[in-house]
Amino acid sequence: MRGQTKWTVWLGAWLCAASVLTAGFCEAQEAGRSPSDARALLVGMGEFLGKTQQLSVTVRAAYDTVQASGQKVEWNEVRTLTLSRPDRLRVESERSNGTRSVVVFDGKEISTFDESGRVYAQAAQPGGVDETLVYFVRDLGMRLPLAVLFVSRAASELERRVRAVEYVERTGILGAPAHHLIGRTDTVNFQVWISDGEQPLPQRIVLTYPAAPGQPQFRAEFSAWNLAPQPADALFTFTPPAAASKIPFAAALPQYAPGPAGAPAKKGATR
Amino acid sequence: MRSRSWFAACATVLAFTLLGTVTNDARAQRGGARGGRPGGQGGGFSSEGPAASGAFSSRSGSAAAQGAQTRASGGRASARESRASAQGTAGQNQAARQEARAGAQAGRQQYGASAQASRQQAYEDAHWDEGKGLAIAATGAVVGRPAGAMTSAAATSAATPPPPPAAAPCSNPTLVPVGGVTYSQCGSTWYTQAYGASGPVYVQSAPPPGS
Repeated sequence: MRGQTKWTVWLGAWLCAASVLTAGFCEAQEAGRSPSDARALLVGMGEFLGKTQQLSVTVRAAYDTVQASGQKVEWNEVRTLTLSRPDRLRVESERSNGTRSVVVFDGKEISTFDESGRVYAQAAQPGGVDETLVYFVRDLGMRLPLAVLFVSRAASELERRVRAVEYVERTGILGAPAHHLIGRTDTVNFQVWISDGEQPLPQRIVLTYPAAPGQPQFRAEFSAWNLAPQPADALFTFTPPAAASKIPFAAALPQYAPGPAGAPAKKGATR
Repeated sequence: MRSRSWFAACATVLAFTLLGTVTNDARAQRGGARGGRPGGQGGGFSSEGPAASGAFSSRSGSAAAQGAQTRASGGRASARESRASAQGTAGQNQAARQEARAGAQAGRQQYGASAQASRQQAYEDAHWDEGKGLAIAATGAVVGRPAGAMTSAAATSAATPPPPPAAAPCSNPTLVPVGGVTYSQCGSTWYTQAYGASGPVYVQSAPPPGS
């Protein structure tokens, strides 16, 4: 009888230990998913964004610049982006020094207006949002951070660039459950927090430029995602304000000494 | 005897529990180390830099490789020149052969330049989000950028007064409107206002037509 009791006690103890170990193992599995899962999550975010036909989002961003003294300065900006595929885009920006500007693409022209300088630039750009983003950023040399995320082929753009990606953890610290990933391209290290759920939208992104002096970062937090904004047509129409002057895009000017000779900005969709 | 058995059982459970906790902590720490990549620590300040682009590619990381490629290319050109110089001391037939070689070499160089341009184009296609606003700014031809203001990490305020427009390229420029473009003359240097990567700037330009 005593021997049977002892056996029962030992069995119970081992079962308890096994349950504790199993729980710990499952938790560890959750915290350290395989790299393929991390990549799938990243690409899934790109696919979801690329397939979304209409969206609006507010992006609060900050980036570092390293001064000659070696000190870093953080610059802040808020952008509200409204996108209606295939050929409508509006981006309103406010920088931390109060500068306000707007970029409007109506399917025929891309326009950008600087409120404080009362100047605008305009370029003919027939085509879709994809070609226009490439033209605006690459050929006209204009700033539009995270533009890669808003082309319809965002998934393939990310896949082509990203060399490694790992799963860090699942977190709710940003207000909603999210997968925290880290990764790197050839020249940029990144972290991204992607919503856990049926809408894998980015909640936060941090980009680090490790080869640049001081390893500056770009940080962005996304809020007010709206995947059915139903924007009015007027939102994508640019009418130059009174007394505003039209100036050329700097990149479209013929290059002049001391810069090397070069061709003016060209149209171009990429692959 | 029974109490000793219970003690042993509890001790075993406790030991495994502690072991499990230590294992999880170790995993968490490894995960934390992976996630904890060291990043950046953190009137008249520069607001230009690689991080301003918010791109998934950066010229900062590729500049060294491109420079090395250029240097290597230059080294090969120098070696070819040395060989050509040595061959120049030979006879007439040899000169003819040299001429033929020079022609072939020129062809190869042209092909090389073309191939390099193609590679550059392919690179720009693949990394289009880098932009080239910074490259334009780096030429030194851009002046009169709106003055930056140092800010804290706090969100911007709607009450923030708008900054002044882009400063003129010099204190008292001569303005010459030609064909819808206003040229600014500072001494013998001419500027035109243009829309740069982050707003209006003055860009050094050729003199206006007819001046």
